[in-house]
Amino acid sequence: MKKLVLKTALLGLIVLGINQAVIRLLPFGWGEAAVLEKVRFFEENRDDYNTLFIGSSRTYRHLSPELFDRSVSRDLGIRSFNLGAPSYFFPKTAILFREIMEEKPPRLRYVVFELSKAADRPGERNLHTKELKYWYDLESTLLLMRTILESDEEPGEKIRYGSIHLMTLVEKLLNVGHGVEIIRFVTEEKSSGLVLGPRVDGFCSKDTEWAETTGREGAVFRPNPARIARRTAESREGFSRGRLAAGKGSPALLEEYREIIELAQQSGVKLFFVLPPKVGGAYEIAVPVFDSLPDSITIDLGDPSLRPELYELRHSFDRGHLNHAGAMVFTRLLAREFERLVREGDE
Amino acid sequence: MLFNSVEFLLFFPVLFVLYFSVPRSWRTALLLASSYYFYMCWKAEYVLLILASTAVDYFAGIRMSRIPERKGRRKYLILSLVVNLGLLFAFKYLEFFTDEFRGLLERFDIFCDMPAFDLLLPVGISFYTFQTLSYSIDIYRGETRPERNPLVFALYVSFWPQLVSGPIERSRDLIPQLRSFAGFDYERVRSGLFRMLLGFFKKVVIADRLALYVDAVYGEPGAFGGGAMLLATYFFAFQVYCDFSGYCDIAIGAARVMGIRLTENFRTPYFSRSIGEFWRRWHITLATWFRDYVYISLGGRRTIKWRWQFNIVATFLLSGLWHGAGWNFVLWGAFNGLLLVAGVWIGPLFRGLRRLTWLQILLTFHLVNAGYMIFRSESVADCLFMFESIFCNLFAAGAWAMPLPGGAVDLAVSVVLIAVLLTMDFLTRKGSVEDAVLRKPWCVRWTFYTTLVLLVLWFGVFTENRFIYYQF
Repeated sequence: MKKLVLKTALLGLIVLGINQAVIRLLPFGWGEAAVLEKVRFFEENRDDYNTLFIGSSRTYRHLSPELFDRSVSRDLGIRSFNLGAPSYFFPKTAILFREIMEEKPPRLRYVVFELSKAADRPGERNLHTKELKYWYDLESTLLLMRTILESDEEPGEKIRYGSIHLMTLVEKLLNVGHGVEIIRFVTEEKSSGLVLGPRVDGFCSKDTEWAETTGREGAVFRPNPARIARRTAESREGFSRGRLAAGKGSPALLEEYREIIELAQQSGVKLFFVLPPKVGGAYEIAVPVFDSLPDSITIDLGDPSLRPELYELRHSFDRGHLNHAGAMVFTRLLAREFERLVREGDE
Repeated sequence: MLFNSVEFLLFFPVLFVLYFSVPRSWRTALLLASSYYFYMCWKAEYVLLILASTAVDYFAGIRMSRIPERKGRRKYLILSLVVNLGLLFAFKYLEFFTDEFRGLLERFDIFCDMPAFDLLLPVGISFYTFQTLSYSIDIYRGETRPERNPLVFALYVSFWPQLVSGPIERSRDLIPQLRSFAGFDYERVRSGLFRMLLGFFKKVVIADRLALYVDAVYGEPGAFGGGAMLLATYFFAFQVYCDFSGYCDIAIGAARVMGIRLTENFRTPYFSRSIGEFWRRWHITLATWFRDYVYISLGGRRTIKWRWQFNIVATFLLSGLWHGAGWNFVLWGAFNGLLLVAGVWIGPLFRGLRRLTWLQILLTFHLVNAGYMIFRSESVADCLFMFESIFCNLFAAGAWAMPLPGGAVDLAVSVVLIAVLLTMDFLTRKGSVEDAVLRKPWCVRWTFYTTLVLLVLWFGVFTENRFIYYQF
């Protein structure tokens, strides 16, 4: 029996070792074409930029670097790039930030980081996909398990989500089901002009994409007013619940956010956190974390009572996103707040 | 519980440790409990059907053994036949025959309200009922003795590795092994685990990957041309082979780990040179069951020529019906029976071909594939449409268009995997893969193990696809 156990363990180690080698050979972001394309573009042109935006589609769709650079005073010399990608939430954003810090881009001075709750409840249809698996590591898995444990889910649901995260980590470590995906990644060139946006700065508004993909250039997308209003109400509700939970932010999330703040400081990079608009009930978790961070590094663009213009129908595309006009408003607001914080910090 | 599930990955190691930790006298009870647990993971209440079948055959076996003459034993055999075939009929065929009867009446404008049974088919019912039937028939014929230990007999009916999809074991082969269990033997356990790994490779890597194409094409044949259908049919041939033989490999391997030898169910069937040979190499335990209990009971070959040919067709018709309650299965059975009969008549005309082994293999493979089109089609109309598309429109515009998810890479990987399978089968057609590999030096063996594990991990489709033969 001992011989069998030893040999099985040896085989397991060999298999794990080969899989680790494969994982190391694959570039970061290989599982998500949009992220990979943006990261590659940034790495090739990293001397051109000193400011980065990291976040989900609410960064990708709402933040125009070209307008941002024009909106801040020239003496700050800002040249920014948008690294936002669809469904890119915490801890994926933190992993991306760490990857970039490891590369030490010489000119990088500022990073604007979208504050979000942890993506700890993956949907059924995302399970076993490379998009879900490629970024998992032990640290992120433990973080997700902690946030699930801290949540007010039923014990059965906590166990279910906990085992999903554990299984996903195992699948990632063993490259389960990745064979065809890796061959496809190596052999097929996948590139979409929309990912980098029309100005090749990483920004593409929802309207631009809609017009491109449907071939209706010049047409106006009409959002559903009832859905927009419902999301605004949800955001308001989420915000007030979040404010009520002041000081009770998720310890796991706070710990992680503080770690990346420390990492930024060590690298000589100034990190700012922005609370985006239109995230509905997710504010309940995001706001207490946001409120626990120092005021000198936080920008609140999510509160519907403070920023009603970001919830107006004329600035909305769908319930979760702004349209092009809304993105311009958002970018200007962010640029103003960013400049204020930079100046205050310099003083 | 599916072999290709996370539950099984936990179930098997736990059972393995327990099995070799408990005293040998407890192993029957342990295996029986684990077998019932294995089955109940799917639908707990259906274990009652297994218990009913077990109780009736145990009782019938004991009673038959006390009666010296066949005539007196007959009533107990009938009891066993009625209960087992009755369960099979009720759960597998009743709805089909009711629907067909209703349809027939409606053709004559007779409309009646028949009850809808809507019973869920119990997994493995065709397998364990046939296994228990063989026990009763063997005792009736005086070919075997009854098992008096109810636990051993219950384990014979429900032994988990082969409970839901075979191999269909004879009592004289399996029961003696369930009375006394072997201890831990490294070589045997290694060989069993290797066989299981081969089974997983066939199932999750080849069968489930090919299923992506086959299901797409056969699910909506109207959306594809003749070329895509032909490719899907070839793919189905390898899918069904890898799915079922993969299951058997896992079953045989798992049983071997515990020191129990199960009957081989496949012997490189796609290298057969005739339909007759194919049926001696494909699902061997079912084919021998039908040979021993149906074909021979009908008179077999020891009769006049037309009756012999009738016996062949009748046996295959029943074999087709065993596979499922549908006209396509009946047609498939008839098709195979008629092919065998045709072989009797026209075989002598092709004596010159006997030296052209590869041509014979190719011809047999294509005849088997024609049968698979009937077998896999979701209706007889779909089947006719596919035959027409392949034979009449194979080179029409768009016939080879593949509007399938995955694209060229998936297709290329599937073709490579089939080539790997055929190479393995060809190289080991006179033995088994594990024998061939386990004889090699350690470096070759370890390279093979590692490659196989990596192929399973990297190219496996892990969506807990059911085994095709679960539905039978």
